[in-house]
Amino acid sequence: MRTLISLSEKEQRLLIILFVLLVAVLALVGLIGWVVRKIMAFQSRKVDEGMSYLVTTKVIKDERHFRRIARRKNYRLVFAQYFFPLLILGLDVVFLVVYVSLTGDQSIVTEMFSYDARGFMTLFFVFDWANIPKSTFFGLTLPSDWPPLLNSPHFVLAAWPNYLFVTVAIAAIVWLLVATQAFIARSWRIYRKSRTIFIKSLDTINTLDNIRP
Amino acid sequence: MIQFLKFILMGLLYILASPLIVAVLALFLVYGLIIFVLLMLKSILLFFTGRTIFSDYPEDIAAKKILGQLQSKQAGNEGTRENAH
Repeated sequence: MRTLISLSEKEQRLLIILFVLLVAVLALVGLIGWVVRKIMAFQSRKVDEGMSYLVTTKVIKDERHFRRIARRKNYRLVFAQYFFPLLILGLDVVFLVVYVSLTGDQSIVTEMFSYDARGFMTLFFVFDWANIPKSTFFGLTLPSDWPPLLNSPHFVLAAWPNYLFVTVAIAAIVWLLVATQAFIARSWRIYRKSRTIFIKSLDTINTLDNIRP
Repeated sequence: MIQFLKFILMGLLYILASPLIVAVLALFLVYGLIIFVLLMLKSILLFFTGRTIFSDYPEDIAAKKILGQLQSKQAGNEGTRENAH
């Protein structure tokens, strides 16, 4: 029996590892997406809280009116939810500016993300991705091993302003992104509900229900 | 197993759509920041007139009035029913 493709043991192992890695990454991304969708469904309920009683009391009677009021309430929620992360981000910047102006040490800003001086990356593993070992597989050049290690995590006391600034900034930015996600979720729900609440459908009309003047 | 395959397919879809997702997130972030700045200015102006941007809209007031009337009507009905017993 003739085989079209003959693989060495090393290539077979590489192929299996690549396949398992691909499946794991796709499943993880799918799981994260599922969680994000659930969170967005929860966040969009704020629209219901602010709009349901306006619809049930028939104060709002058409799609355009619904969208106008819901959009205004959505903007107010954006303002309320953006306030604290932006305040924290502003205070974080003020802290760095005050530190630099008091010490006169401007290099702390340029070293912010360095791994070999007083940067935030001294706390993490840093790999040399540019020089990653590669091997050829079916004519494709693929990574075959971990890249060389440039830095192992270590604490530098002199880097405390950067540690503080970057940590607080990341927390504030994540908070801001979550608020933005909620903004998207609410906007989408307003759009969808405005299209369905006031729909005039013949499907729901029963001809036996006579309307007498 | 089907759920796992679903996750894999959704993962593939999310990876393919990730540039679009990032673009939408960035656009809404900018939009949100513009809204924040405008509402901040508005709230500062309203502060000096003794008002706030979080006050009820005329629609809210009207709806609350209707709900209040309904509640008092229900309370009245229950009261007359109890008196009849």
